[in-house]
Amino acid sequence: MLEATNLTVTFGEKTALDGLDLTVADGEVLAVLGPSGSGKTTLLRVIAGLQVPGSGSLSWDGQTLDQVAAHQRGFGLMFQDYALFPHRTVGGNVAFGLRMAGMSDDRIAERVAEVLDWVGLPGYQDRSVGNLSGGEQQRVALARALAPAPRMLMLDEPVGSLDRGLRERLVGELRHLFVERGLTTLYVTHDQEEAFGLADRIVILRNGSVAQEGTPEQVWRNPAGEWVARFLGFDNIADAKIVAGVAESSFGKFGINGDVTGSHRLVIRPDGFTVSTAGPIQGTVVARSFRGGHYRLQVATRAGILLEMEIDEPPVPVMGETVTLNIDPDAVVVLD
Amino acid sequence: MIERQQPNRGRRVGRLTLIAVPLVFLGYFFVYPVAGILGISLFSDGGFSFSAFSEVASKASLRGAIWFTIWQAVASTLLTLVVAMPAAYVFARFSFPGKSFFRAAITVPFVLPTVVVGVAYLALLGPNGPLGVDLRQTIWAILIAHVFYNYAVVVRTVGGLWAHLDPRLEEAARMLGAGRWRTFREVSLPLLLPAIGAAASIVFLFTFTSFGVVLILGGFSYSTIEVEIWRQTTAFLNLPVAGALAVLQLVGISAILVAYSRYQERRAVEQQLRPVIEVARPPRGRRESGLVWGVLGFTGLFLGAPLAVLVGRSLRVGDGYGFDAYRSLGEASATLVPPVEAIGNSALFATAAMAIALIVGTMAAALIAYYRGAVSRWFDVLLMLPLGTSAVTIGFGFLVALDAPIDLRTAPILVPIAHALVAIPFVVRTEVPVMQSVRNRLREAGAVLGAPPMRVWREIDLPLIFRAMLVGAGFAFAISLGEFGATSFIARPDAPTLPIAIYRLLSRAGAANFGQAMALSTLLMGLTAASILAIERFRIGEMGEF
Repeated sequence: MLEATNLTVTFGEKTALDGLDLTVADGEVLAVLGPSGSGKTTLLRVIAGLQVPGSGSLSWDGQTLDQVAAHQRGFGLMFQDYALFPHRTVGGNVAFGLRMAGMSDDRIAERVAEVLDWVGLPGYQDRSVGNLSGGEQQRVALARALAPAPRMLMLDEPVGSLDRGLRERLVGELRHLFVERGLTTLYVTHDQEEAFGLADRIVILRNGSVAQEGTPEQVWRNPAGEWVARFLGFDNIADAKIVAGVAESSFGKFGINGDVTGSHRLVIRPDGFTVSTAGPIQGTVVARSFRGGHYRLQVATRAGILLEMEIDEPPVPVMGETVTLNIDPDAVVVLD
Repeated sequence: MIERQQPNRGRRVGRLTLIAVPLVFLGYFFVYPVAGILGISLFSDGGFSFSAFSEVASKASLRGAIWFTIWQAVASTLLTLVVAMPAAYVFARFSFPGKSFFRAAITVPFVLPTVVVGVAYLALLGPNGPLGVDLRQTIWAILIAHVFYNYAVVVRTVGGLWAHLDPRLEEAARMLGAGRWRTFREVSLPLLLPAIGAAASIVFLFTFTSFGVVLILGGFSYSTIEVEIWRQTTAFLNLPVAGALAVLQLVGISAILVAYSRYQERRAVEQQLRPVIEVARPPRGRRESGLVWGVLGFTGLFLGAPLAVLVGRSLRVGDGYGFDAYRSLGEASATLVPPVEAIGNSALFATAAMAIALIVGTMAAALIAYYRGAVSRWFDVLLMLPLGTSAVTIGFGFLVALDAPIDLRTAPILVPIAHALVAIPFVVRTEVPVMQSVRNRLREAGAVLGAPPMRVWREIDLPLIFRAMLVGAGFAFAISLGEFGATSFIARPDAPTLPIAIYRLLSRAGAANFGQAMALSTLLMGLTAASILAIERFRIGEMGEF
């Protein structure tokens, strides 16, 4: 188990990590999610030993890592853009860590073949890394990181530079590989869909400290605060007066769960709306786009406030149509 | 139709001019003299014979010079690579206050006149030097001076590639269990090999043809082929043997150049290069700070000490200090004319050489940059030859060949022409990359907006390459100021340049002469350093090859 306590890193005036605490349990897939500049990459580099933190400490199974050099930590790191060695073949790249571990040539050849098999590139040993497609490079980088059987695998935006279709397929494959091999994994990304699709647990990073952590469901259902809600793309946020399970806000008047009362800020998740004949909110559809499984609509209320929503059940209202909306109390989250 | 033909004919005429001027210049002032050397070495006894070559082969002193030339060049190259590698790393990977000044400052030794370097080391490692050791006429003085001279070549060439090398490749190796040394050996070193090869071949070439340093520091104990050519010509008047030596040296240099270009073609590893800004960062932690400031301290001391001692010795008067040596420069002395006149001569020659190198070099660069194809590729090689040929060979060639059809041997213009020959490759190498970087799209935009071809060049290309031309001009000026090898053959006794005057002063005994030599060297160093620091201000990023 990895334990990081009170990590702080500053670059000049800028604080990259601000007293960050983090644990990764054995066999767990932890996704660190955050916008660019939130300190994700710095966190990986500190754990990897490539960056010395200003303060704080790291330990593995209770033993400190603070004096352990990067090459002795036994962690695997898959770099953004992969950093494949251009002067070595695919096989030479994958074999690198095994050679450093002093493995015999026969064992290395065996292991390289095995790992290339896992990532779906059997027989690629003698290819030059310059001629690989983006997806193939990604797989070689993964194979290289996996080959020495690291006690923890870290990935920095591993599918970030690939096109969308390939990205979704690879995220599925990665999840399968992590679970099947029981790998302890720390996965860094700015893409929430990737994180939700892949992680057992998510840590959301903001300005170098943890804004929220929990399972993907917990984070999605209960974003902790306005910043997290907006980061997740939930923009229906307003002040409301809550009395006896009914919230009164600029959006309108609707029922919520729980026994909160008084003045609060709340968010309505975009999946919380249904089109019906009777409901608390009326408005006009001002934007409508098809997103595959669902439609995303923008509805302007009578008061001129814009609401963002996802509608997946037909009939989906068309542009300019006046609609009456119902709100699922489960989709309303009190933010403070 | 007529409308369309005119620019085409203009284009052809323009191209012909671009080919003709540099070709005639190089043909008459380089190929013809080299042919003259070949002739004199093969037709020594009135008819065709190899007697000059067999004399070289039979004389132990000449065989010794050839052997010494090779092994000192190998030793100098290896030593320079090892000594300068840490600085290449520090300059590539770290940012620190005053970096661009430091970078400019380390380039100064590279363009310092060989005579000045020789004199500086004579002052530092001579019997009255501050180190208290006398390394005169030892191999160490020569090797150290060569490292001093070529330090910047390695820092700039290897550091230049290192600065663009993705640091994550090294980090990836670390994450896979490689320690620092192993990472360097297995990842950085193989990726840097093209630059190391390039730097090594430049250093090898310069030290292989080393003249001034060996002449001054080697005394009679050590001589390179260059020194031997000069000695055979000026002391023994044995032109056939000098010619044979020059031919052998030319063959050796060509072999190195060919081997090197073959090696570069094979080695080209495609790699992702990153912008320097992403890579360089301030040192973190005590270990890195120690490395950076340690390396900078060593560099400052190693490069600064000889020059400081030089300045110090120029101010030495008996047991005290004063400007006596400088004041005496106006008096007639061992240089035949008052040494101060040499300053005027040098300034005049350098200005003329700069003008010639800039005109011929820019035309050649335009040909190479704008007309791709077999002709311009061959032209590129032809232009580089004078750089590899060695200055002594050029001067010697002028001496043996330029008596006919017109006797130019005593014409004052010969000195700047020789200097321009040495400087042209630098001008071309500085301008071509910049010219090629001007995107055709820009020219097309100019043309579509109504500018005829010459106007496009004047309004779009010229402003962009103007800075490169300034840099080339500065190089040409500095090279001419310090040129010694070729000048030693062709300078008229009554019109010595600064390096010639310094050498003459050094070859006479006496404290007054030595003081004057130191004073003139200090002035020459100041002039050269000033022109190089001026260049640095005009340099566009890291573009250009020097």
